[in-house]
Amino acid sequence: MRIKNLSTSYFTDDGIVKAVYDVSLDLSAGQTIGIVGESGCGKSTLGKSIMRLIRPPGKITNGEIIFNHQDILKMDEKKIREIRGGDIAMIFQDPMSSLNPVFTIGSQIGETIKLHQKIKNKHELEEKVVAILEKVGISDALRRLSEYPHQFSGGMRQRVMIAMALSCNPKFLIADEPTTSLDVTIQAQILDLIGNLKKEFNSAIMLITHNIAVVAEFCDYVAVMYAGKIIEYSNTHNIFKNPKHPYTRAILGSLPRIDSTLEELTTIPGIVPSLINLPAGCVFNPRCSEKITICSEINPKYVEIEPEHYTSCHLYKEIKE
Amino acid sequence: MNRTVARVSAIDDVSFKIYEGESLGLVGESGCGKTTLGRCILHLIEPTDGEIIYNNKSLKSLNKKEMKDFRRQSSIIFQDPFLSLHPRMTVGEIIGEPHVIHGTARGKEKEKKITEWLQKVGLNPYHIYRYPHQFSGGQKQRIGIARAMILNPKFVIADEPVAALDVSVRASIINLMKTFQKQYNITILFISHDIAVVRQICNRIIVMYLGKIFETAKVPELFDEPLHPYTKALLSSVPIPDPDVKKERIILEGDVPTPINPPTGCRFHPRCFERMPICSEVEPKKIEINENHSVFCHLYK
Repeated sequence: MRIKNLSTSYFTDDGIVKAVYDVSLDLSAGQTIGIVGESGCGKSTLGKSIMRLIRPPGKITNGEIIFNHQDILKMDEKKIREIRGGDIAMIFQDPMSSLNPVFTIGSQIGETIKLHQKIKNKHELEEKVVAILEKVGISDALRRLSEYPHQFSGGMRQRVMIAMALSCNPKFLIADEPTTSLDVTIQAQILDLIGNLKKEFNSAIMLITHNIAVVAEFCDYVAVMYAGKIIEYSNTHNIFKNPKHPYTRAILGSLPRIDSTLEELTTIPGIVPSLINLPAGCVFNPRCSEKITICSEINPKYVEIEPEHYTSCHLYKEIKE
Repeated sequence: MNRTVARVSAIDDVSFKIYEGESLGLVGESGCGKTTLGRCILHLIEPTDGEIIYNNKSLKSLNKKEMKDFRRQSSIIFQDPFLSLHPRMTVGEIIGEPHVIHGTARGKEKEKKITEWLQKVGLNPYHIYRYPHQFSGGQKQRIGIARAMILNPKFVIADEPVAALDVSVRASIINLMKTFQKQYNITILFISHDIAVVRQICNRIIVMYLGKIFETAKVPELFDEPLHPYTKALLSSVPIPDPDVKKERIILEGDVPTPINPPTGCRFHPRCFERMPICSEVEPKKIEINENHSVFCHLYK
């Protein structure tokens, strides 16, 4: 998948909210990318934009999303519906909001399979649903087919969501905060499950999360977002061991760890800017401890500063060809 | 028509001490009972059985005046900054409310204390005229802290005070609480599901599971030498923000059982990777490994 210069804005009464601005990313089969950032940075909007799930007053205002040699943004509704849930699937944070409470688990997963794999035979459908439920670790699957979402725990519901997402062997899976509402031991189970399934299906995964620690173990690449922009991108090792952007460094320094006690955690003064009234120059400059004069005047370009390491920051120079 | 359908035991036969000046962490996942425990300690909920003894007196035995004294000396910081601040009260009124309730300061003197605490939590004096909705999550939490601190309490319970905040904001609130604890020598009970945060603030930790205490230890020791299999699993599931650290992850099977029908014997036995036959029959008693470390598990003697 190749995302180029994607921008999505919300046109509200108070002004235009630039939720995602000029984002470019590549992702290949079998790779995992973590999109990290705090509330309002645009990561969820990014995920939804890829699936074309943006509704008014939101609108994708610019860019291309090339998938299988076609631009998703130029596809008609019919084609998009074929892809959505088929080649590209999405898991959301709160399973209850994406599972219909009045339909059984079996019928909801069945619906997805019926739509995308065009299976009409009831028996065959049921077999497939049981198989996928067992694959995501739900024991006693045959009996549980006729149960309703409220009869499942949070962790189980998330497994059902994953089952639905994987039921059609997607090439690309977007997981938006898949474990945020779960207990940490259940989170470990779910991430373990997604990791195993990734190996089996060779799907590319985009993991959207505010939990940066999760990304360290799970992802190959990391994109850090702030106020709608990607301010740093590289492989996981670089981001954690060799972070360049002052925001990335501050965030990493603010994380409490279970393997050590720090005297004081790094803090970032001020608050995230309004996406309607972004500051002049670099969006992070008012809060940046390393800013120089040019930072409040000119928006830094997003460039490659080391092999496979991109950032938008005046402190760094683009590598020469 | 009232009919008891089931008895949900949120906390079951829990005993522990909180020492003056210490920062005690209470960790556990959903349904472990830590929030209920916090509220019982402050007598916000009445325990069904058992006692809370404060300064050698049982809370049940306190008369009205003594109870008021207790309330003045203790306070709570809540998790949700949105829900814990009254939307129709100004920040000044919110922070000053404890003084109004206890009649401990009035007029100019009260205003002075409010402004003092606003500044101590890093906000501006002119904020006293503003309403909660005009502040960010982190700022609201600072207001909650100022309110909890204004009567100079001896004992503060913080119930998931940073869970609803962004990462960078959490750090500033954690730093703030650590500073206050040292400065004012407050005893803190820090309730959290986030064990990494607890490591930063606390010197002692209690691990709870399904209404029971499983392990208690001083901070570095719990992390360096966890004893209870659940503690080991809990620690191993916390992600570390370092790709070079290769973890032996213990993946627990199944979900946390319902507190309505807890498992027999040790409540963790159905999911325990080190279980023995006795575990499903007999509830483990407390074993003191050393003066600072105790565990409830049949693996130890």
